[in-house]
Amino acid sequence: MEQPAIEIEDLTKHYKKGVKKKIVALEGLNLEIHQGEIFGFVGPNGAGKSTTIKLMMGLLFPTRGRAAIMGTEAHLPRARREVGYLPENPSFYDHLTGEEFLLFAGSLVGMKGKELKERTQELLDLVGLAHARKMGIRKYSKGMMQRLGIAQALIGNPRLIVMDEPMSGLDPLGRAEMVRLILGLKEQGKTVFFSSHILHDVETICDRVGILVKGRLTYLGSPSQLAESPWWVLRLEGNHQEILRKAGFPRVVLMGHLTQVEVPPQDLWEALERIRTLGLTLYSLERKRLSLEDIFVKEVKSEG
Amino acid sequence: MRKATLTFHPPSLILVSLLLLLAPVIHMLHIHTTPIKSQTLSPLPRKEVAQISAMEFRPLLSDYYLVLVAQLYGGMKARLGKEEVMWMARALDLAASLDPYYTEPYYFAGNVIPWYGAVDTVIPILKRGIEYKKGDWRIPFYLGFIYFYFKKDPVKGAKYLSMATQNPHAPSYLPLLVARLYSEKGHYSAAIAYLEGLYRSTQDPKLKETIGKRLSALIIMDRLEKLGMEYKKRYGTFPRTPRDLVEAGLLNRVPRDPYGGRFFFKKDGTVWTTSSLRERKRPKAKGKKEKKKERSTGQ
Amino acid sequence: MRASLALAWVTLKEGLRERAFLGIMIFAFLLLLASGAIADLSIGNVIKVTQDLGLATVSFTVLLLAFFMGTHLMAKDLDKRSIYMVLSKPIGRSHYIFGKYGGLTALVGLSTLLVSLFMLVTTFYFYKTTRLYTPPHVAWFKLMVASGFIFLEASLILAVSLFFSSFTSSALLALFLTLAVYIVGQSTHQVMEFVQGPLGKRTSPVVKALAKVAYYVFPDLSLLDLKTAAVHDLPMPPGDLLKAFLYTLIYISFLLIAASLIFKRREMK
Ligand SMILES: Nc1ncnc2c1ncn2[C@@H]1O[C@H](COP(=O)(O)OP(=O)(O)OP(=O)(O)O)[C@@H](O)[C@H]1O
Ligand SMILES: [Mg+2]
Repeated sequence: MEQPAIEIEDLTKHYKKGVKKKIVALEGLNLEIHQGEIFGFVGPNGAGKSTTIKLMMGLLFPTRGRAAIMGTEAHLPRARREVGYLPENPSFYDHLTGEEFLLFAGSLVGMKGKELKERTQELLDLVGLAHARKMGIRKYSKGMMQRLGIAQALIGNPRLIVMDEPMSGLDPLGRAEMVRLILGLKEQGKTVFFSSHILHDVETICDRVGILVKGRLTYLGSPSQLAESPWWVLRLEGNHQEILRKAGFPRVVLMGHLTQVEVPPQDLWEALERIRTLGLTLYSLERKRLSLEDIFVKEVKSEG
Repeated sequence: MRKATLTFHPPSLILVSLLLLLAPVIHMLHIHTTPIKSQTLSPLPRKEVAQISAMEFRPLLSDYYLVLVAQLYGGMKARLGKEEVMWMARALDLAASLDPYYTEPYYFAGNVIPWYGAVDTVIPILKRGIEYKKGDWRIPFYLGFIYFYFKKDPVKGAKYLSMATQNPHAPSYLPLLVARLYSEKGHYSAAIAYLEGLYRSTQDPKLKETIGKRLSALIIMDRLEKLGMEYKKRYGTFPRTPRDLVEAGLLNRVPRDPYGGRFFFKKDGTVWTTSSLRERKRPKAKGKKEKKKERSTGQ
Repeated sequence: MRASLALAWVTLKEGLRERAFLGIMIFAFLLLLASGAIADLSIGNVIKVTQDLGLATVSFTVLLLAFFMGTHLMAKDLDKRSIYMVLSKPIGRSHYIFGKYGGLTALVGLSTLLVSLFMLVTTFYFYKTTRLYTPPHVAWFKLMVASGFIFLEASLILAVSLFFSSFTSSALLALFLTLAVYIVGQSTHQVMEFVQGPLGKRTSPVVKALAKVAYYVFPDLSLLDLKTAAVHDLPMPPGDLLKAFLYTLIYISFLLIAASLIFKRREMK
């Protein structure tokens, strides 16, 4: 079997708070990220996403359990040879210029000379900072810092890229670029693990998604799996709320000039029949797509 | 959630520490520019406390105390009371123990303080100086003279004076001078011999002038004393003033005290002066101008 | 190794661009320019006072830099979390400590060089222009040696500050602890002398034992203070200098290794 990119077993982190109290930031997480997949890590604020990522990067040490990166235990410096990391709200040595910082980051991963210079230029172009490479990081905007953070994560051409909220601070165009960039990485055969609050993006690009709520993984699966749902959505022209409610349809809403009805699959044929007898015209009929957002809200609510 | 931490503001902390270093300098400038009248003697720390707390800045603190002494002496020659002299002696003790290789505190302790009193405070300072500055013949020379002249202890005096003459760096005239200290009779002759030596080893004209002044007064007093003996042989009693000597035809004119006082004879025939060999009060304006720094001989 | 060097270079640049660095340098230069005039307040050999003031300025400013930069730059790195970018790279925590130390030492070394060079220049100027009746003697080479040992002392202070910074998250606390070590390290030798001297008869055995412990635990910084020896041209036996140098080197290595071991176990929250 192929070596998993990330292996997490019973990973638990408690923060001490005062003498006796503790905060349970992460509890018994088991997770395996496969080579070459894009994994989206979502969850409400304070769920423990950043904590998990820092544990993976050896910045924090687990209370219990373990994490391994490319087969190496996370606390060993060796584990970080093939991983690039973008921290949440990245902060830099801002007395340097963007280019200087990338050269510095490159020498930290053991690059040098012409190879490093070329890689730096390449990455500056890739993240769209070529114009600002001689500018002090102090003067960078939030989005520019985010881009520089991504560039430094990619500097050593790592096989695994771990990003904590890579979309934050980016404008819609930047976000789209980011999505393209992640998909490009996948095309190169790389593994991407990232946390995000922008569920739409996660849904579109991720192979698998994990939902973390209050330190526990409550959902793990593919977004397409999520989207499969038994309900049907029927739309009818005109306002027919009253009639339909009387006819016994439970979920009726008015949407502009359309009336929308949701029916469970086993009732579809009966419902269509009834609409026909009522003399109403069907405008459209489709499977209801349950968005990640719906699941997210459901998971968070059921936990809370 | 971030812990509340004490605010750390390097620039302001650095500014405070820089001012800390400047404080003594500012103090020196302050007393340098303040009229003498309003100066008060600042309290002096214990020697051990100063030595430990000055850390690696001991030489600087030593310089500081010497400056204070020099300024006080320069400004108050006329009115050095017991209190001031004691203070100066203690400040010199501090200066010498903070930088035991510094010559000037020994010079002051050996040649300025004893003439105003506080002889016993000065002796241990010079003894320490001999320990530290083995190559310096002047410190045992000062100390020997202090024993000989002020403490009236010729045995100890001889010990230190011979130590001075045996020093390889001692000038060639020293043995002769020390010999004279012992051979010459009379009350002041030893001091004259000593001051002659000091006069010769001092190159700073300002200091030379001070020594010369004292030397000339002592030479006059020595001569007066000798004439007084003659007077007694003739008349059975000591004279009361130099005028008596003139009237007896032993002297042409009444000599002038360089310090501006008048000479007189004590009952035992010794000569002293109303100036007590101290500077007289001068008009203030002039006093300020005179308060120029004096430079001694260096190493 | 390459990583440590890269970090050292970045740290050096960071230090050079701190405003506090510029402020301290300007202060040092102004004080050295004024040293001749300040020394003139004294009597006798004013060149001696000029040298005292010059060497004191070198050690004061260089130590000030060591205290502030040592505690400030690392705390800043942790506080701003710019350290994440470094520690997420395949380098050990000890590389971080050694890299930071290298950069800080370079910064302090550079400033020692600048300030002491300027000190020599100003001393030479005052030496040439001040008329003394006995030409003063200045041991130029020993002044340089004394400056070199000031640098050694500052390097030791830097190691102490990194040691404390490796486990405290408050820069201010690290600063105070470092300051305490400096003060104790400066005085243990003198205190030992007092305790063993005539004054010792009156001290209690507890104090004596404490003094002894402090003497062996804390660095003996008086070994590195050659200012008096330089100004008075006292002998500086090469054997003693070598011993002091090795002593400092061993002490620094010990501190940095301890700092690395502690830092390895530290969580980056
Ligand atoms: N250094 C710390 N000390 C104590 N508690 C902490 C610390 N860091 C995080 N926590 C707590 O651990 C929990 C998880 O925090 P974490 O930062 O991992 O959440 P997150 O999922 O990344 O949230 P967000 O989406 O807001 O970034 C929170 O309750 C937080 O308050
Ligand atoms: Mg987070």
